[in-house]
Amino acid sequence: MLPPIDLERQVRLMLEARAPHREPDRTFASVMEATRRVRQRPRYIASLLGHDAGWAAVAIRRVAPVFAVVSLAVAVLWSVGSPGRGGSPDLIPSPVHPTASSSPSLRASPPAIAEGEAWIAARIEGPGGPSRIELMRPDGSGRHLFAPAVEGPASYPDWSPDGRRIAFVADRLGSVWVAGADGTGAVQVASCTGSCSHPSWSPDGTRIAFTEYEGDEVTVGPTASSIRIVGLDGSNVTSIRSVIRLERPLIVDVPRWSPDSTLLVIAVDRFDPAGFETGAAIGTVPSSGGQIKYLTSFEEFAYYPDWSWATDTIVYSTEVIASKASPDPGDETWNLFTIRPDGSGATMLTDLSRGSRLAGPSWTPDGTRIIATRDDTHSGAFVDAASGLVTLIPGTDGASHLRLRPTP
Amino acid sequence: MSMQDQLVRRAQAGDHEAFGALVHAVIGRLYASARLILRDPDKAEDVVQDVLISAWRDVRALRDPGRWDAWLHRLLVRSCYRAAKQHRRREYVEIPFALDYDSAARDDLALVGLRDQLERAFDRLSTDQRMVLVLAYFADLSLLDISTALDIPIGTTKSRLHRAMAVLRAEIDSDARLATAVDGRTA
Repeated sequence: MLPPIDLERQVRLMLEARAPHREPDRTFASVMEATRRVRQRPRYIASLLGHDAGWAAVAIRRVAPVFAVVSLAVAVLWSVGSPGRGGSPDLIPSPVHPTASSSPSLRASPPAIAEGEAWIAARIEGPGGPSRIELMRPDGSGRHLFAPAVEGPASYPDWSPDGRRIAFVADRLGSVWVAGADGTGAVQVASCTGSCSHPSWSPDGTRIAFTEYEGDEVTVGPTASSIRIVGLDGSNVTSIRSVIRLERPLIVDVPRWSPDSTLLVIAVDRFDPAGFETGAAIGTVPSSGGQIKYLTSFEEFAYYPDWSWATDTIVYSTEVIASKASPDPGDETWNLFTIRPDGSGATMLTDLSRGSRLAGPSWTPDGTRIIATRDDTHSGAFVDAASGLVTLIPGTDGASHLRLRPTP
Repeated sequence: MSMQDQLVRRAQAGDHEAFGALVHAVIGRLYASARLILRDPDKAEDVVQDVLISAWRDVRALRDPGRWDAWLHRLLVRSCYRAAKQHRRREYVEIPFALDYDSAARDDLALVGLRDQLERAFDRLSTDQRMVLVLAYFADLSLLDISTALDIPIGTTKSRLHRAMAVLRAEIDSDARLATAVDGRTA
């Protein structure tokens, strides 16, 4: 029989002795090289602002990643043009991310936004850099920078119902702004204690709902969030009020208006103390304030709803961002679902293969299609609302949070 | 806020240099953990690369920078499981080179023969058992962090750790009894 020993100590010594006491020769260099070509996923992003002042604003960006069933021609073109294909799926090529100073297409005078012409406004995430808003036609042409005169990057565009103005968030300032479609006449209409996100025009164009996040410097991610509504008379603010406020473990987000403006559909995220997502659900709340009526369970991870004013139908995606149950987001499949406002008729619209991800859905104004994002390349896609057929939108590399301009 | 937390924050903001500093600080221990779990240097390198690329890609999903180590080990565990599944097709056991042994650690192994017994016993453990021992006694993670890494409740972590240690002790006792019997016959 073995004499009594401190087995834990001996195991520690054995492991320490047996472990290699040097770094692998190739891995550090290869990791750093590889990560230069890998895009960061823009989930909840901590945007460090005002370093000198020593404060940080936390911006929540549950951006819609996506995946799509691609038409053969587009898939072939993409494959041919992507040196990373065939290797690790992580090593996707860096999409083209033109900047205002480097891209000829963005240096040139932007095309005029003609009355009645369809345009897509999208949030563009640079590789590791700040976001910005760009406009492009639905065929990908005419892509140019939406450049309102605000400090820092802009994101989360939303077209006014008449298609003449865009509400957006100024990331650095943590506030909601409105500007003309050509970027002129920018005015701030709301500010937030932490950061603002997801502005959403009401159907009559007189109000904008948005999310306000309350964060701190210690915790990455908001400690609480509110849905607020700002009333507008033209560009003048007439009122501002809170609809609902939730504190962690629940965070309310992504307000979108019902056709008659009496309700907002919202998303609610649920977290555990360690910050992992344990569920997400969508629900409705009266725009005048009140209780949430949940349309889905938290276990469905329903997120990013949008309400069609044409068909009175809600679309949402099933996004899992960082749960303990699925710590590897690459394994997740995110699909689009539709549901009636009373919670009935939930229907799985897309049926993507494992690991494919569609997210950030937004109805086209006529309610026949949904515009969404694919997660791995952040390019746009149209989804047929009847068949669920997914078609990539050319020229939308790096795009998320896409919104199609209403063209009355 | 600690220096590491600041680096995590900067990495989350897209600072590749900050991420490099984080990688530099952890890569050796991650590699060692992977090698102890998988017992295959090539697989371990692949796993570490996989983990760190995933970490860069998804670092923005990490809400609390203070959980960086636990989060990395969670990615490591996942990647090791994947590698272990592939590995079953051609199982082999790594034989460590003597040069890899740290002299101070070697001196501390006071009981003659115990190290060899421990290593043999460790090699006979399942991947699950090796993993929990490495996380607890090599990576020095707390029970909470081990639970997070393994995606199991703390109670299960405790029982898995206890069971792994019991198996180790039983293997060592068995070896000792065998040696005693052999010695008795040859005396």
